[in-house]
Amino acid sequence: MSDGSSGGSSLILDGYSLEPTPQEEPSAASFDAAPSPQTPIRITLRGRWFKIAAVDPKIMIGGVELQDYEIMSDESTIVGYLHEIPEENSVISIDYGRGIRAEMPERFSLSKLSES
Amino acid sequence: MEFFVEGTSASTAVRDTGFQYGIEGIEPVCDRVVMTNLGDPSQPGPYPVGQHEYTEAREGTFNLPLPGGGVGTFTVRRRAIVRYPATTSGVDRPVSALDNTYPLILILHGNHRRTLPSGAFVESYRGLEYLASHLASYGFIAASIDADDINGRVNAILQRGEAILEHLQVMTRRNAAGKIDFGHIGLIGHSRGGEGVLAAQNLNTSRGLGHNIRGIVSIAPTNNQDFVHNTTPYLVIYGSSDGDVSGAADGVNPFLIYDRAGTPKAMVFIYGAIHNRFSTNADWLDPNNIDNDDARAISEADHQNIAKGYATAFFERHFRQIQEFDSQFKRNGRPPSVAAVEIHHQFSETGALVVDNFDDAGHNAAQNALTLPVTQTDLANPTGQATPLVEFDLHAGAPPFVHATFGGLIAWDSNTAVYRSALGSRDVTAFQVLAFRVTQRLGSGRNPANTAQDFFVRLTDTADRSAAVQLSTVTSIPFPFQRHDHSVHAGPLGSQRFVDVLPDSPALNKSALKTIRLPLTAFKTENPQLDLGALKTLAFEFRQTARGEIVIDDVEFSN
Repeated sequence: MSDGSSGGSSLILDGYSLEPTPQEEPSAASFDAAPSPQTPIRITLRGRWFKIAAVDPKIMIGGVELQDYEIMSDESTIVGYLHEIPEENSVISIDYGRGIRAEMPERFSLSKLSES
Repeated sequence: MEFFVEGTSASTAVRDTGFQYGIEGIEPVCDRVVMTNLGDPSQPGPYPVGQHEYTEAREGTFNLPLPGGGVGTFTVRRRAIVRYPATTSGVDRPVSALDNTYPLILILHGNHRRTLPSGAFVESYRGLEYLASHLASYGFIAASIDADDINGRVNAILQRGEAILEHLQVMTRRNAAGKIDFGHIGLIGHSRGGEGVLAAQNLNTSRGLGHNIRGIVSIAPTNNQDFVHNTTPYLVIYGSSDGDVSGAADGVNPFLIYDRAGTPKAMVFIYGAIHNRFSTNADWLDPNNIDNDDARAISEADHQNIAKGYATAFFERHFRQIQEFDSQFKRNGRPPSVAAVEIHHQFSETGALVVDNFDDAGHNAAQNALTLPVTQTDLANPTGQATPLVEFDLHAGAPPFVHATFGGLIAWDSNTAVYRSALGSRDVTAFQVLAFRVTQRLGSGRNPANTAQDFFVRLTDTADRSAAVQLSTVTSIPFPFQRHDHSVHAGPLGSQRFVDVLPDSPALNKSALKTIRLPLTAFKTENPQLDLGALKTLAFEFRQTARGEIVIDDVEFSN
């Protein structure tokens, strides 16, 4: 390999789920029917090559940057908390810099919350 | 006839500075030779190493605030490997009685997955045990602390600093025998740990905690928080081929931390060093996780010897005042075990007389920091510039520059080219060296590929007596390292290996400044009549090579 172009095909975002934050979890003050900055929504991203190293990936959902997250040791799951609600149909992306970036085929929708 | 060598104690001989060399049977006073035997600080020291570990079973856990704006806390286990100077090697052996107390060094690893697929913890902290053990053999009590519970969490630099402070409390509680010298605490961190140690000292000072942290070493540190570290001597160790802290963005550029730091400070830039080989943890070194497998990468042993040798020299110098170890930082020295490795140094001492740092508010290239004229003869316009004298932003400017400072761009197409900086009538007799930072400008066609640059530095006094010293008599201005991140394995499309995913980009090549320190005695040797008490001009004469393009910075007289 000469140019590292496989990066794009190694990093994959292939699904996500939304859940209300359980009351007993420290990230949630409480949860009620209408999500708000006080009641963060837990988002679980699934994919591949979520590397845990010096560089944190930048995770964007439309114009909202996911800042409160943890990459799990399987390096295929990221659990984060949305303190701001992204717009419907926003693109979900993950970017490690250096051209290592992936977008999820599926768009963001709060309707996922009701599936949980 | 036999020669003998005698130190004050066999156990401490390696750092004795008062050896007696003599001839058996003859009065030793007559044959006494004052000399220093520093040995190789990358090789084991004289103390037997005691081993101890503590875990949450006895020390419990502590909570830290969630990073990234999260609300709440997470739990961290108190675990560490402790290595210390002992009476004999082994587990929980008594602490050596040779000294009353020993300085404390805490070591913090970097970010990595917390657990293996089996579910077992990676225990990244064991990957820096070699450093703790080595420092213990030199009479330091060193602990590598476990931050697995922090790993995987976004950023978490301040949390790493908090963890270090927690372990300082543990060590305080466990110091029943009083063997820890809490007046001399040192910190070493790798990767995010290399920034976490700065966070610890930042928290220590901002909260007025009073921990006597007196020296910090960052190995390939991240730069997420933009710390300005200026409260202790500081050393940065960084490799040209680091695939993780690659320099691709400010957050992974250790040069920025060094540039912002106060003096005294040093940085060693190691050609061929990568990121993960500073750890011996098997998961860090796994081919799936390694950050660079260029065939030119230096060996795991070289990485360890560099970390051991420079860290030991740094703490011996600053905690025990063994001035001779300055040679590793001031005079391009290196541990003999890595003599074949290409290492380039930066160093800045407190109390220098700054001639020009190119950082004046108006960036007037025609005037130096002494507010005296800068002039030139036959210099060319640097690439992309309309005039020959330019103060250039080495951060916002453009790759391949990697520094948080302005520098002077200098280009020449003629061996009659000269750059001059006026000194007035400057007395520099209080200083030992003329120092400046310099790098070749990567991408300039004026610099022949893979060829060192060279020029002369001339000092002239007010009576027009002068002396010139050639740079290459002291060190080189190397051609910037041309990195490749994966020349050994050809990863298939879709490979999950870290090194296969990382792009092999020439944009990661760096025009990295190195410090040149020309002894003023060399100028006096060249011309004994030169009056260092009344210098008029400093000049760079580019008569050694026909063409070239460089950047200079921090021109100063120093010790």
